[in-house]
Amino acid sequence: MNPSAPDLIRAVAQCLARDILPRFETANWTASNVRSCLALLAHLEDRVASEGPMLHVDNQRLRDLLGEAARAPGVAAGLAADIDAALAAHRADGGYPPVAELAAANDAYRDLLERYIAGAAALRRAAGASRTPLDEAIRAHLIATAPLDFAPMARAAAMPAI
Amino acid sequence: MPDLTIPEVADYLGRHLGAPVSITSLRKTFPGISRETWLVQAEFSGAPHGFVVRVDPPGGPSVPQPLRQEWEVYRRLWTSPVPVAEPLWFDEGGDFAQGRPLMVRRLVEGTTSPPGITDEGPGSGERRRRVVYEHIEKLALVHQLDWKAHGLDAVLAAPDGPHDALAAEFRMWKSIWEDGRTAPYPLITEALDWLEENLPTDTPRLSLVKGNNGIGEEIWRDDRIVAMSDWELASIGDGVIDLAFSQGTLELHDFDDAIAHYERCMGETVSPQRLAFAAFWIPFKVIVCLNVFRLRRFMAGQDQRISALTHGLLSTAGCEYRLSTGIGRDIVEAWRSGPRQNQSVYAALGDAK
Repeated sequence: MNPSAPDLIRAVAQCLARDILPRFETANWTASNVRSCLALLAHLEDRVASEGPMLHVDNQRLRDLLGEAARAPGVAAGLAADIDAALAAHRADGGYPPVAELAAANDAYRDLLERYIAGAAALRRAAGASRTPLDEAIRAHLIATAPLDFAPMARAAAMPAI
Repeated sequence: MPDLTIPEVADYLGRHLGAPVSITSLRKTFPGISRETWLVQAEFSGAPHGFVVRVDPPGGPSVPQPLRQEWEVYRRLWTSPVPVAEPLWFDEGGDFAQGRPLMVRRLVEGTTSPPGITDEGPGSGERRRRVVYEHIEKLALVHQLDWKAHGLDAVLAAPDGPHDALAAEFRMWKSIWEDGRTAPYPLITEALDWLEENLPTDTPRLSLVKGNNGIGEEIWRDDRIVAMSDWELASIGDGVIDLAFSQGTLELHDFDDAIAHYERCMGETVSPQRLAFAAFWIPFKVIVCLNVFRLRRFMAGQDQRISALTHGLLSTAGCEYRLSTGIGRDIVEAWRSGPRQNQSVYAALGDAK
């Protein structure tokens, strides 16, 4: 089996760290740029292996939450229509979706989710109401996925950023 | 974009000072991302002089506030009890440094960190206590300053009153975020909802707030702060913001004792609600700076520095994760049970004086 994408990224990073960075130890700004590249490569190495499956799982859950949000009491008609349109536009066709397609769908879903969260908060404050089960489900989903989203960043984020 | 060169700096300073200037050394500080800081040693009129040229990066600063505002804060503080380097002039739009906004101030001898402050040895703990107390006392000086008397409300927006201090800050930064973020961030939207539910209203007074402060920010000499530097995030509001933005300085000593000393200096208590809110608020402000003012500019081709990506993606992710640990919980309990700020979230910007 030939080297995988993470193997290739790791090899580039090792070359930079072993052969290039030591030559610039006294040039702060140049060394800093190389360290930034190394941190980004570490992130890429972890991201390419997990991005597709993570987006796929997140999109499924977001589709469920947004489907519920579109029918929630008080939700703005425009938001409900946008949710329906997005869910239709990004419906899986059964094929293996490219990561870029998954990411575009995820961005659209996250944008709609943001709009729902902001709208629901405004409604609650205006009515002095408490959080709904859907509000809690969305919050729980976001808190639960935060460590998963951070995982491909964690190793890189611990490296010198400058 | 080329760095500044000795001939052009000599020519520029000479024109401003009205006398030929000879540059003996010119160095861009490292780190220093939000704005470029150039240390200049020069000779003119037969005497040595040190200058600091602070200039916006080619792609713009990493903060919302323009350099002119920072300059105006310096100018007003120079005549106040708060120690700052002498501001000399502000300039922009000329033929020097591609017309980027810049300010020149006099160089203050010292370092941005007391040398060996984290070393262990006899008396090292007591030394760190003294350094933390020194920092607290200078922050208290800032927070007790009569900002109206020094005209700071002419350049910094003042909230309606102490009760509105943190709410005004919340509204301003939330607005910048919503207008400028690079992508949807539902977790941050949720965090903002949670923070808004927990907005303290018990701010005892409106203070001048420095913004990022502490080790790595101020100029230290013999374990004393001789100049408070980098006022890029200065505002009028609740001083508790500074306690949470001290780059880990307060944790060099016992944090609770540091706060107790601050309370003694100020003659007023700091509620746990304010401390907890500020501790979760600062990561959000850092996210705004890194995303809106670094990552967005990189994506637009305005800032080509690779660190815009490391900060805009990786450092932001760390702050976002920190926020996620509090959402929905009692904010004081979440703050007390979470990791204390033993290193700066803002230091990722690598500012330097």
